[in-house]
Amino acid sequence: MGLLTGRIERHLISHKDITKDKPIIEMPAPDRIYIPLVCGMATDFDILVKAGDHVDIGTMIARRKSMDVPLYATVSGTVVGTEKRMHASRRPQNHIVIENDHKDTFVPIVDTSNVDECSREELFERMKLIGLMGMGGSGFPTYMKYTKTDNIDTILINGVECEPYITSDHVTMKLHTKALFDGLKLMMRIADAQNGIIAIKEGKVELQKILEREVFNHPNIDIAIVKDVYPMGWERHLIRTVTEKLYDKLPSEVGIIVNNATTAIALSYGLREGKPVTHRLVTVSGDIANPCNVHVRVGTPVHDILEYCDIHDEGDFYLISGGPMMGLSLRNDLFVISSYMNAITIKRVPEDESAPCMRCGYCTLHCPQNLQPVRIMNAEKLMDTDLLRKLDVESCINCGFCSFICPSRIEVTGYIQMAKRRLQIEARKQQTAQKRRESQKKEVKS
Amino acid sequence: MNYLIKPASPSYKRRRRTRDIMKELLIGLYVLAVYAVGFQLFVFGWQRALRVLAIFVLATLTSLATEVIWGRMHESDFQKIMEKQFPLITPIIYAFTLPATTPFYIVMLGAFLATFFGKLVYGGFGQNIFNPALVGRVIIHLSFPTAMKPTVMIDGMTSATPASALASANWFYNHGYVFNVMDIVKGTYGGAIVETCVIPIIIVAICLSIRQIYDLRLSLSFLGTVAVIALFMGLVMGVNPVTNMAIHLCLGGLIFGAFFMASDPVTTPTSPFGKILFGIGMGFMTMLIRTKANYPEGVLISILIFNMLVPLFDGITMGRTDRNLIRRYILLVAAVALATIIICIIVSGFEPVAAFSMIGGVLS
Ligand code: SF4
Ligand code: SF4
Repeated sequence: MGLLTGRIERHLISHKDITKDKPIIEMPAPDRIYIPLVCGMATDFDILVKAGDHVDIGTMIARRKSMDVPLYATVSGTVVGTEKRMHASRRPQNHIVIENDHKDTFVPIVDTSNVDECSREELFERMKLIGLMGMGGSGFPTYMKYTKTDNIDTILINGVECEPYITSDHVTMKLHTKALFDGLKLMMRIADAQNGIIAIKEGKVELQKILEREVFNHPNIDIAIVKDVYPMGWERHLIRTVTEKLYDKLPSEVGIIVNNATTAIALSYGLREGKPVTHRLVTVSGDIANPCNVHVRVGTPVHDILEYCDIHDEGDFYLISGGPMMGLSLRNDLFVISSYMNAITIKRVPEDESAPCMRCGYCTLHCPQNLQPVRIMNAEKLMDTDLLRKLDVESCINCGFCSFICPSRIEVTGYIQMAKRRLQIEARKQQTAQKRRESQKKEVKS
Repeated sequence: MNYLIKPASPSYKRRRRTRDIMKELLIGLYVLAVYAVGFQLFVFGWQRALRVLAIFVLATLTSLATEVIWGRMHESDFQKIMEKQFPLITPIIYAFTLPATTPFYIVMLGAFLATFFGKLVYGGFGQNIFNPALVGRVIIHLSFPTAMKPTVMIDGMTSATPASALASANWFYNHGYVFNVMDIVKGTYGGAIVETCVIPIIIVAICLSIRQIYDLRLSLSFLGTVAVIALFMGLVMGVNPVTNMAIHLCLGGLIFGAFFMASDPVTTPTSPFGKILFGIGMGFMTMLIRTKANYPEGVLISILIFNMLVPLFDGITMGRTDRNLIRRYILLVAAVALATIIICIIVSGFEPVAAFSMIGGVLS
């Protein structure tokens, strides 16, 4: 709480209890799965299989051109082909369709021999082969964080999960504690880091006990208990809280790599057993009668999951891929679960309750980036790009806090996204104008 | 299930809405109104109490009627008005600033002006530039100067209120000042309705700020600036600085103004830094008007003037609020210091022009 900077963080009513201790629903793999050719925002993939090919679990079916991220089949069966369908990012994307033969034959994706003895470089190459993508929701290739590790001394495991409703990380950490620590140790070896920290929120008593029991066996690993506030799961805020370090662009500037807890667990299983991420725990929650955590095959359409979990509520809903704060709402349930999707949130559509902005400044007080959302909103309404640039719209992290906090129920975050897009379009226009001018100059010269 | 699409995240909102905030604010104001009426009953008798009650009721009814008629003309039903325009707040705040002796027709006229010219013509709640209650109050103050002059009874004699008496004493406390400080704090002399309930206002304001109904930054920097200036003014002029400060804080509806009018979010800057600087500015302006213009309504006028300057203050705080923090803190301290020095120079009777000509005379 700063006199001039505001609160930045705040406790949210988290609704996690409704799924936290429920038994996990095991969902059998569907007859067809769809592997999206998407990695974070990128979609530049080489497809390595063709229709009719037989694949096993672990057969490489595609590979991202830039950054080298492999995609693996998550069931065994026959490739049907590619299909363009709606993706969780709200754009139609290519998916590879595989007909499941329900045999689950498996080929290891990496060499799993002497993991504990092999060199750092070897481990890094293996990690790259597993094709992990940040499983907290970003989908950023994990190995990218380990390409330059000269000054890294700490690996911070993010088990905070600050979005309301989601409990999949929590439950996974509880069930796979050994793998969590193992994954962290492997990460520390790859980065040659001396310290490991696992950060979880206060109030998760049971998980805390389990972790504290395990941490005795690992002298250089610490548990950090952080406040139950939003947006604690945001890298910058987590590092600021746990280590009191500030950085400009990337956490590596202060010698830290942050990875999601589920990523660490997946890394352990990948390196030890040669498994790609075939399953994923997904929290299906929100304003529905029977919320649950369900263990599904990566590539399962959400429609099948909702059918299997028997979710049929009456009324108008928002279907959100991810948590209610940052997740996008989708028109229908045809999109599929990718390895980095941790939740489906189904929120009832509220009646319109918006009131005029009363300039209360709550949004400014709470913005974790210390922006002034209300002023950005007004500048956007006036289409004043100069003012928008001065207000530093670009550094907004889309956390959704300003809309959440606004007592007048204004979609402040929406305006800010619009403002960002306006600036991008403007920049692109200027670029093309510049190019045209240059080419004209050249023509004149020649 | 039927899925709708929501253009932007998030789909999760906190519980408290603007109308909850306004409801709590209204409850706070009503508590104060009840106290004010009760106070009049015990100190001045039932006739005066009824009169004050009537002022509150008349102001509210007039204001409500104005809103409803305007709503009819613009196809907005009663419920919508209550939920989005919050018509009950303005008349109560307005009524508080009136002297208990205000004729009823002026009360109604002012309430109408406040609602119509202060709020509706700008497009309703959230759009207004000036604090609506103040618009009404100042217009009637300027139109009916004699009827609006508050008087109090001392020993059976009609006399000026503590505020106007202090005004005629050039706004600092000296031995000629007949009013007892403790009585001013308690409000036993009367005057404007607000001046009778200093302590309850503080209590209600603290409760509301604990409930996070509004940001205390602005109110406290406003009051703090006035306090600092009054303290140093007392030192410079050789009167008891603490008493001087207490009187300045309690009179002229300053506390009510700082907590319930100046801090109205619609007419203040949105950033924390802007709010604090804004409060300092209003404190300075209040003291300037008090000392230089000899005008008991310094608080009201200075709030109105600063309402106009909101875009300017918004312009000072560009970009992110966590940049240049040290520079911003220094600026705030410097602003208070500068305000204090200017006021002290003014009250000590130091004439810059005379001083310059003196220096000029010496030099030649
Ligand atoms: S929180 Fe909402 S009402 Fe308050 S200033 Fe921001 S946009 Fe306006
Ligand atoms: S969405 Fe952007 S502007 Fe809004 S609170 Fe988050 S960072 Fe700030």
